[in-house]
Amino acid sequence: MDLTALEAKLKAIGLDLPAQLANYVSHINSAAILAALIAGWIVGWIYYGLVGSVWKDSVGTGKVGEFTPRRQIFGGIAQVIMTVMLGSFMQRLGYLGPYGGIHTAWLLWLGFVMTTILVNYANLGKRLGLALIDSVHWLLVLTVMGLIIGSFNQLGIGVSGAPAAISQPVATTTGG
Amino acid sequence: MTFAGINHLAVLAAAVVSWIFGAVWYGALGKQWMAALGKTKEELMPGGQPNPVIFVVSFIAQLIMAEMLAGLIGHLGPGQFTVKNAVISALFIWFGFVLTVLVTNHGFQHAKRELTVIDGAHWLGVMVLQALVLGLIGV
Repeated sequence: MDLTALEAKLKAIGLDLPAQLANYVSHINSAAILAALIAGWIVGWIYYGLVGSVWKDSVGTGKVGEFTPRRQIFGGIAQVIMTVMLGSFMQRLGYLGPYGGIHTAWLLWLGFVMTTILVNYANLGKRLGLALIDSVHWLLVLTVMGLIIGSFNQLGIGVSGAPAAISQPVATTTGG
Repeated sequence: MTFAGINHLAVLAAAVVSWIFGAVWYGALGKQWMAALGKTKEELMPGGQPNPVIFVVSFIAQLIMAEMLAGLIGHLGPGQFTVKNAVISALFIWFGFVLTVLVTNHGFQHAKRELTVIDGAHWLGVMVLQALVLGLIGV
């Protein structure tokens, strides 16, 4: 089956993958991604510089945390993915400015980062201190990412055309 | 943008289903998980039994996760709280914020790759199941 036929079949069941994927990533602001990546690295470097000895004691094995290019590259790729996803959610939720960025980042952190770290580390019998140290690191990184993406949106850096009209996050009411 | 609302019973159901999945998953992969950790059963469970606090923490965390997931899907707007949208949202969140964090943290802790696979797949199952329950029950 050639690609055209496959695409036609997928469209018939409501899946237009190229368009849907383009819709999810159409907002990517490369300048914001680069700035967020650098900022995230700096935050991590300062943060683990400050709490590094506590972190090493909590992890408890020998050569952890040492600088290897492979770890930094994987960590960097992870941060790029995270920035793109955060920007995507900000776009879909309509929280485009710096406050909206922080708001979205904190909700995502609370729901999916803090929870998974706590559970994984509890299962491993690791000290709560380590879970808190790693959780707070990601909170700081995500906050900085949200701030950068939102600020770049508002200032029009890296976006084509005029800056979008930014509204602050509106108070939502839960139904049911 | 209007908010579709949150059905808290659906959230509770989603958390229960995903928590049961976790028990089944780690029950089935217990040996492989311990091998990936490089620890023995005695080291992980000194009294011979797992610490019950772990299960409570796990349930509360998954309750928070289900609530947040429901909120995120709800923000897509009324009429958009469908199984398809829920699963797609869950997949994006897992890829963007759970897998990335796991890979990074495990990398710096010198953990074995198998641990990232086992834990990563667990959370994928949790999130997809929660999305399915939330989407099927609706708001």
